[in-house]
Amino acid sequence: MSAEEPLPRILVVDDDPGIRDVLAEFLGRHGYTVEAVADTRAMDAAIDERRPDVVVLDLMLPGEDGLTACKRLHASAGPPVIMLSAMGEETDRIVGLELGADDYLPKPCSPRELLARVRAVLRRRREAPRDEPQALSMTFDGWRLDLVRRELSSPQGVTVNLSSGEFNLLRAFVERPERVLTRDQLLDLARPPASEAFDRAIDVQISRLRRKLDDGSGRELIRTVRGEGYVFAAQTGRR
Amino acid sequence: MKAKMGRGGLPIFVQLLALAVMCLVSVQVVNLAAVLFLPDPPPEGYSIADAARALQGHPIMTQSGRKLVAVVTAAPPDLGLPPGAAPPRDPLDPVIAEALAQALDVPPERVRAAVDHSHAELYRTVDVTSSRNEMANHVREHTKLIIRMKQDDGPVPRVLTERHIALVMRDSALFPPFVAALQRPDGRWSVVTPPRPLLSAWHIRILATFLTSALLVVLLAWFAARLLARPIHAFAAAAQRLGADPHAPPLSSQGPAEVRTAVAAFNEMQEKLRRYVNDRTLMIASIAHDLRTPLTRLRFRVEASPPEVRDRAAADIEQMDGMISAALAYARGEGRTAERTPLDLAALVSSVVEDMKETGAAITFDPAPAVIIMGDALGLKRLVANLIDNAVKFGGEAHVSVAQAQDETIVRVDDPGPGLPQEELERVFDPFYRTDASRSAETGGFGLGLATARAIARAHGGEVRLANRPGGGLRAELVLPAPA
Repeated sequence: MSAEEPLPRILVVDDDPGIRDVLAEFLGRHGYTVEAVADTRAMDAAIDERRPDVVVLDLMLPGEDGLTACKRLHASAGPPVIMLSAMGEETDRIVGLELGADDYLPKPCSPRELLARVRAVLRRRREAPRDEPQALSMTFDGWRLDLVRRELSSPQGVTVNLSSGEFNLLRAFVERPERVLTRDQLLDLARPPASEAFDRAIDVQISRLRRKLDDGSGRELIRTVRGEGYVFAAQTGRR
Repeated sequence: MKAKMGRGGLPIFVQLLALAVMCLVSVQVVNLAAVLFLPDPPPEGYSIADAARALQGHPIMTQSGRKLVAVVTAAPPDLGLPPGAAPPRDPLDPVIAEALAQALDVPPERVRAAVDHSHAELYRTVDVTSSRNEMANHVREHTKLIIRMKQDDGPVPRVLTERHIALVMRDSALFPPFVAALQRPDGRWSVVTPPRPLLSAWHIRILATFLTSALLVVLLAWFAARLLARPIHAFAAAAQRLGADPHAPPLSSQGPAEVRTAVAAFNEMQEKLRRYVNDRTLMIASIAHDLRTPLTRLRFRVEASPPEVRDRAAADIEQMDGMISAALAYARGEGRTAERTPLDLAALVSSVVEDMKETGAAITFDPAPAVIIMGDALGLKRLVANLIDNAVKFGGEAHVSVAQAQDETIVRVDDPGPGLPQEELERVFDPFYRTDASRSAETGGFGLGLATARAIARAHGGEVRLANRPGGGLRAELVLPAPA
């Protein structure tokens, strides 16, 4: 953090005093101003008074639970929310993200992971103008790409599961429709974290994606541009 | 249709009773009709003319539908008594013999005849006395004619001899079955004996009556059985659907009273089971939550320790968290409430394989055309991942394929490992059961992977099976029913 910027304020909401202590201590050590409260009523008061930059919200809370509070904050364009929950299953994560959480972290998490997520959320907020909701899914040619579940639905409503590599690749295409993307660009955009991908790997993934996008209509959504790369040939929409 | 539903609502007891009564009544009706409307059985006997023609070598059908055939023998037939003997020879015998001789136009000594008393049942069918009365009438009627005929030729016979009677009787009168014999010019004998009673036309008519009743009863029973079985079939099918998806809506109460009672009991049991599973899931979830809170505190507290302590502590915490995750996953697999959506199973398996390959595992996958099923994508992903994980852990590598058979879809995960002893193939599905290999190796399992996989498969109406492959190694199969 540069010195001229005010220190970001973090609000921790957790009913366990031990968790409140360790989180406040850890995040404070990394240069944030931290306030910790036990329930959502105290959270609302703290948000009104001190306008925190991020809320780290526990899922299971006495009184109003974390998910409901998260939904409420999202609807009223409140501060970004990182859900921190002992329910770390894929389904829980999806529910949290669909209800408007900016990120979802299972307990027990690595402290450095939490730090990284907090920074990422703050950065995203700074880059994207406030109030622009994050897209939950993208559509193209009857298909729907669910960005939270990382699933693809065919025009017939059939779920087509994607590997994370395929998902990243398709997302890169869908977010940049009708533009020629070189293999290098695609590698940068779609590389799964901490993996060493090669040009070949992109070609293999594209052929798998094409197969999964084949609904028998004969339309080719991902076209090869000889000597240059690939282009995604469809209108896309956000939802 | 409405009437049928109404009938379907009656207790099975009443329906069965009605069926039995209806069968009984219909059989009785058929029998009554047979008695009232079938003609009387024709007499079993035959006429002199018939016997004469048969003796001349022309087989002939009698009125009751039997065949008279002459057999050639060397000796005259044994008629039981020497010719001309005193009673108990039947008084009809000389009349028949005389009539035959006249009909065949041969001297009387070349002809033998005897009423066949051995066929008592046949003998009864022609009333000899009434025959004889009839004969007397005939004779009286015809005598005048004979007298007129004879007036010109010579003296009118005063006494009606056997010869006169025979003359009148030889064409049309029916005699009880008799044995007739004619000495042929070569000295041998042609013999006609009463045919054996096997199946007369009368018998056939009676049998037809029986068959009609039987057919009627079978038809009735078939129809009634279908009517009875329909609500039970529907119940069984609905119960099966419920087994495939424990969160399916309760069965609707239709059909006979007994089935309705069973449906109610079934629904109640289902509800209890669901509550029990939900309670247990909730319990495991809250234990997991309560364990994870102190683990989180611990994780943050060791962050300030020297790196080597911190990293090892972090690894321990991660392992404990893994156990909690496994327990939660198992509990959820048992008590899933996730919705089912149409999904492409081949794409799902492929995505799991690709993701697992990212970690460097040796996995091959045969690309397969889309297989659309109804399912819970997250659960099925975990299931397939568990199977592949086991194959990689214990077999070194995994070969995955998706095959679609007629009424089921099979996901196969083969590994080239040591396989499992026969007696372990089922036991490894028990929750928290671990093989020696799993216990000793650094595989880090908790004995819940296969239990979870099976729970998820069964929640989809399918099954997970393990088998040793003939060529060595283990084969894990996920079998899912084809969508209805």
